[in-house]
Amino acid sequence: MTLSYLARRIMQTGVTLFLMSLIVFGALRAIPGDAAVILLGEYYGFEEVTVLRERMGLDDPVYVQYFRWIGNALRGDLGKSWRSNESITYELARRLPVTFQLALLAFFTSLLIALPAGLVSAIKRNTWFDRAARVIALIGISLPNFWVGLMLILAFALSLRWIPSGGYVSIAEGLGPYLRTMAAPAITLGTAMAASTMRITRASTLEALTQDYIRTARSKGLREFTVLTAHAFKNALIPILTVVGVQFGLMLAGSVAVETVFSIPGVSRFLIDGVTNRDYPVVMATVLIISLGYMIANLTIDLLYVVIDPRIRYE
Amino acid sequence: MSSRKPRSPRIPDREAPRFRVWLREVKRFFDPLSVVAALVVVLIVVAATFPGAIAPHGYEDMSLRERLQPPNLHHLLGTDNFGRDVLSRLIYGARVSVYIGLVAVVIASTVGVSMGVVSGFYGGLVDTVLMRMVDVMLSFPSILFALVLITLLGPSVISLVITMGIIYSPRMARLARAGTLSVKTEAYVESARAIGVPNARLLLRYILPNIIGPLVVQASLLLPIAILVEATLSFLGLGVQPPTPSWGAMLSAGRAYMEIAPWLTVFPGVAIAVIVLSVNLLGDAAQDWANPRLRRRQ
Repeated sequence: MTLSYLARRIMQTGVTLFLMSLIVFGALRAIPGDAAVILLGEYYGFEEVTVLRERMGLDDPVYVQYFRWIGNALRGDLGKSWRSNESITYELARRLPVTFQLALLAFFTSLLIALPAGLVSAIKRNTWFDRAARVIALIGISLPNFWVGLMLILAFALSLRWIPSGGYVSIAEGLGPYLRTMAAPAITLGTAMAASTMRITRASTLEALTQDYIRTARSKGLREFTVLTAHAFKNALIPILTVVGVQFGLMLAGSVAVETVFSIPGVSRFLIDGVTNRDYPVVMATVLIISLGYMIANLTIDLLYVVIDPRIRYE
Repeated sequence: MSSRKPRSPRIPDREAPRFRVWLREVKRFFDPLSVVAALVVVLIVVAATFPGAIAPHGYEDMSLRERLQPPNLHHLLGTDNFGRDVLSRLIYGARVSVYIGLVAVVIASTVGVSMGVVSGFYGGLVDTVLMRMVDVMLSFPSILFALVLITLLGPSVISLVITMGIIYSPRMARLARAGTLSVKTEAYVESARAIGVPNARLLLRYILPNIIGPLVVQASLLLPIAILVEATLSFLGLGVQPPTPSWGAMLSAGRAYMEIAPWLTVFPGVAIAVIVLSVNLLGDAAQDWANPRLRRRQ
């Protein structure tokens, strides 16, 4: 992989992000009605609106407003929430690690379920295990993940009282309490992801198992375990990785409902509050940050291809 | 697409009696699991269409004396905090979930297919501009776009339908464009063009009928996603507003009573899961059915 490829990909990411920011900013500024009026609520005087408009810089042309916003954003200042008047950058700095930890835990949970299940399903094709795994995966895709979360709360928090019904405990307060609060949200989010990953693992392993190199590997007397892991699975990894990468990005967004169900103070919850309160600066900033996370995840996956399959070269 | 033999829209298939061909196709489509799924979908669609005829109570009939009753003979799935019958609300809620999902998919298909067909047919600048838009939209999680649009439009049924219609149109556009590109060079399109068939007619009568198969399959795969997204957004309070019963909104309202009335959160979730699973099964069957590679294997 050449450095120029990396540079080009980062440039592309920047351009897409810029377009995204333009669309989001444009859309939110194109609303019928006046942001200042929305903010003031039902009762306001002409004078108040004028003062507020001026303070918010709404009298400037839209492109001036955009460049002011994006310029500040690039310098790390994402503006202030209209609702609470608090710094959004500060709020995000507090919330990002929480969402990231949740996503990471869910990600590992899903891989832990999906990879072995998919692999065994492919090897034991058309056995009871395969059928059961496929039915479970299809059910997994069909369940609303926030409902799975509610059911986990119902069973393990309200009935059995093994775990708290929500909230967030920092890892600094001990691994036990941390895992107790994060386990249910991670499982909720992870199982939702595991279903698609398992399906693609099964499909691409099956595909790999029909290839000539598997026959060659077997005929030269390799142990079946080595054939499956080093030959079949390794070659099946590319499509799996693609799906997993997309899933990891989607999970950042998919956590919106899960963070609400478990009252986790993460970025997604912040976004939903922003949408509910029509707090435009908050919506813009969080959408941009989540998009950035999504694009970084995709870029990482593209780069990982090279590590897994040396035949892939980027020019 | 390109491997399929293009059919002229006007010449009927004379090789086999129509009915027998049709019967064979129907048999092939319906394996036992798909039949069960199809029955469930039909049942839910009937419930959604005639809720008044099926529901034992009205969805707004309150009875404070009967509030938070567990499932019993009079209220099969129990009552909520206003004493409203959960089963009746689920049946009325089917209307919201099914029809919002359907309308959203219809909008997404109409917008997306128009964009894709025009883009593929005319090419050039139109194609570049439309497809770059599609690229940008597809490079981000669609829920983000949905949330931005709902911030703009405010939460309501209308904005929910518009939002989902917009966010799912790019996938349809890509597929329609690919189909158009492969079909538009076929001889029958060329000859139609040569005898002076106007572009609009060319698109509607010659190209669209020949690319519709994969589009229908894609639309059937979008439906369960649309139903889930509606439930999620309504659960978050950003979709259907009370007192209109929607499964997502019922779940959200039931959360507060989870400890004393778990049936308020269990049943709406089961309803969502059952319909999404059934539609998914049918979508899978449709996909296998439309896939010529799998067809030969059977």
